[in-house]
Amino acid sequence: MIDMFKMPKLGMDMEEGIIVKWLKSEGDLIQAGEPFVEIETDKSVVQVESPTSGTVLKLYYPEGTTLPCFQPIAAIGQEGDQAPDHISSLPTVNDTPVESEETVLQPTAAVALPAVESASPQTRKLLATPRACRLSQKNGIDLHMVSGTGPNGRIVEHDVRVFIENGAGRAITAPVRIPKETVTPLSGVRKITAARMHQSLSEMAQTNTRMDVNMTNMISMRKQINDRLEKDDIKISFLDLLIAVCAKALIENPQANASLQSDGIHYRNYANIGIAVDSKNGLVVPVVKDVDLMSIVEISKNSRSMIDKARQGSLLPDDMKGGSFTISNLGMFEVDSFTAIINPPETCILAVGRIADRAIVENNQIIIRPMMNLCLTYDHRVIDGAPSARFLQCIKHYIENPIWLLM
Amino acid sequence: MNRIMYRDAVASALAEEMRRDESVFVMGEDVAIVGGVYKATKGLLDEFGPQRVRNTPLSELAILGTATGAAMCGARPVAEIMHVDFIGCGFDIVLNQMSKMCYKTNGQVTVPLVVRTQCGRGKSNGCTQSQSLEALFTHIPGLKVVMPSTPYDVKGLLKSAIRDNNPVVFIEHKGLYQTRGEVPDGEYLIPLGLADVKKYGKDVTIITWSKTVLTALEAAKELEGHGIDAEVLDLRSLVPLDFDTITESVSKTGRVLIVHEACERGGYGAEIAAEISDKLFDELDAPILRVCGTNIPVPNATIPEVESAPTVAKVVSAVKKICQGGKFRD
Repeated sequence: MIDMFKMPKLGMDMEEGIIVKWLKSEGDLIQAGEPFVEIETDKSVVQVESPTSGTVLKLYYPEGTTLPCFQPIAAIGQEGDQAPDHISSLPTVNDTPVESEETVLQPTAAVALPAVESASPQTRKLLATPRACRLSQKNGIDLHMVSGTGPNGRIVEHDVRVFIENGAGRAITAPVRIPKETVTPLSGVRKITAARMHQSLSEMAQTNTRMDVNMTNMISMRKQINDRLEKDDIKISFLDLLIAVCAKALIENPQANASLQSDGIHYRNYANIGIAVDSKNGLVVPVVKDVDLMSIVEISKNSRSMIDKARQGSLLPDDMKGGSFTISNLGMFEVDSFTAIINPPETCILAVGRIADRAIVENNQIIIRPMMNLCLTYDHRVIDGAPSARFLQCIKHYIENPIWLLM
Repeated sequence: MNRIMYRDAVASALAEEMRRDESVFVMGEDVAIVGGVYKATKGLLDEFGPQRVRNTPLSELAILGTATGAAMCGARPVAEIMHVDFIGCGFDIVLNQMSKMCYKTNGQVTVPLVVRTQCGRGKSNGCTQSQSLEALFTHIPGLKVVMPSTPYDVKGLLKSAIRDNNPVVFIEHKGLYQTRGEVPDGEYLIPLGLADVKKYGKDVTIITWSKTVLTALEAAKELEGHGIDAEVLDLRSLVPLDFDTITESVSKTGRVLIVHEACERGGYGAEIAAEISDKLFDELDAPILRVCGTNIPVPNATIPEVESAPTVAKVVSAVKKICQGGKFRD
C-alpha cells in the first residue's frame, strides 16, 4: 500500500509551505516518527516526521518548491510498489479539504526558529465585523492584535478605532510580533574569519597587556610633517606613524616579531605589518611589507593603497599573506580600549583606541593631555609577559618621544 | 398647516385629484354613503356624485376587474379593497392582468390604477382581517407598492399614486386612520420611491414602514436613555425602493434593524436585509436583525394580537443586541 505524504498544515494560518530539505532520498527506508522533510512556513523551519514506515518511493518536488497545504509531495510504501510518476496539483487553497483540529500537525522540532503556534494569539478564532475588517485593512492593522468587545469577542469598528487612537494598541494589548530570522549561509570572508578566529583562540595561549600613551609629541610631529607635505597633497595618518613605530619596535624585539610553526619559532628580521580593515565583505587584513625599510611617506602611500584595495574588495591573496604583526584600530568608533584576537600565525596584535583628552598627573600636577590606550595581545607560548611588556614599552617610548625614531 | 387625521388626509388627496382630473373616480364596498368603513372617502359622494363615487357589490374580483378595465380605457380609478386580506378573491386580476397589461401590450395599454386597501392589527378583527400582506405585492413584477405612515405622507403619496401610469397597490393601516399629523394647506406631492428619515441618528438604522414607524420612533426615544442614537428610516414606498437613502444611513451607522408588522418569514424585510448584505456588506458592524410579526395567524384577543406584532420593548431589545460591545459597553 502506498501512502501519499502531503504538505502538512503546521498552523491554523498556514496555507502553503516550502520544501527546504528532504531528509531522506528515494529508496531510503523510513520509520514512522523519523524526520522526513524540513518545511518552511512564513514563521519557521520545521522538521516534519513521517507518519508511516516503509520505503521512500518518490519525492515529487525538488527542494525550494512552494506548495499548498495538503498537496501530496512524496510517496511512501513497500519496496517494489509502483508510486505514480506524477501527481496533479491542488489548484487553490479554497479547494483544500475542510480543516479540522486533527489535520493541524504539531511540528516535531523547530530547526531554525521556534514554532510559536500554541501560545500565540494567532490560534484563537478571529471574529470581526466587515466594517472592522475594512477599517483595519485601511490602516494596515493586524486584527489579531485588537481586542474584540462585541458578542463572543467579535471585533467591532469601535474596537479598531480605539486601537488606532491608542497608538496602535499600546494600551490594549502587548504588541505581538511574528518572530522572524533570516539565515545567511556561512561563506566567503565570514567563513574564513570564523575559522581563523576560532583557530586563533583554540590554539594559542593568548593574554594581553595594556598601556596609556601620551600623544602630545606625536600630534605635534604629525602636524609638522603634514604642513611640510601639504604641497605634495600627502597626508600622514596616525596609523602611518604607528606602523613606523611598530616596525622599529618589532625589529628591536624579535620575540614579538615571531611565529610558532611546526618546526619551531620563526624569528624575523623584517617587519610586515597587517592592517585590520572593515570592508563591505567583513574584516580583511592586508599586509604592508618591509615597512622597516620605508620612509614615513612610503609607508603612508603603501598603507593607503592597501586600505583602498581592501575597501574596494580588490585585494589579491598575496596582499593578505606574510604578515608578522597586525594593528587593529577602533579609535574612529570612539573606543577607548579593547582586546584583539591574534591573526595566526602571528604572535602579537596591537589594539589601538582613540586619542582623547584626559586628566593625567605630571610633575605633581593634574593636567590635560591627549591620551591613547594600546592593548597588546600576545601568544604566551612564544613570548613571556616581561618581553611583551618591554615591547609595548618600546612602542610607547617611540610614540611619546618620536625623535628617537631617527636613531 | 393643520393637524388632521390620516383618514382625512386620504379623503383630501382623493378630493383634490378628483377636482383636478375628471378621469379620477373612486369605487369600492361602502365607499359612497358610508364614506368607507374607516371614513377615508367621507364627503366625496356629496361633492362628486354617484358617477364618480361608486359603491360596488361584495366582489373583489368585480372591483379589481372593473377598475383594471376602466384604467385600460383611459380612466384613473381608485379602487378600494376593504381589507387587504380579501384581495385573494380577485387575485388573478392583480397577479396577471393589471400588473402585466402594459408589458403584454408592449406599452400600448397602460393601467393607471390605484388599489387602495388597508392592513394590520389593532381592532381585534381576527386572523382574516388583520394581516399585513405587502410581501405578496412586492413579489409581483409590474406593481408599485406604497405604505405611508403619516397623514402628510399618505396625502402626498396618494396623489402621486393616482397620477402614476402604473398600477399602484396603496396599503394604509387601520391603526393609523385616527392618528393626527401636520398637513400643509396647499397642494404637494411626494414622489413614489423616496424614503424619509423620520428621526436622524448615528448609531443604528431602523428601517421600517407603515404603522411600525411609530413603534420605532417610540423605541428610538427610549433608546436615547440607553445612550443609543437610533435613526428611523421610513421607506414609504416598498417598490420602487429607495436604496440610496438606505445606503446613506447604513454607511453612517453600520448597524441595521428592520421592523415590519407582517410575518417575519418571507417578509419584505428579508429582501432588504439581503440587498444590504449584498451591496453594503463592508459597511456592517453587526448582523442585520429583524423585528417582525410572529409567524402565526393574527390572534383575536387583544394581548396576543399586540404581542405577536413588533412592540417598543422588542425593538429596544433588538437594538441593544445589535449595539453590543465597542462604545456601547457599560
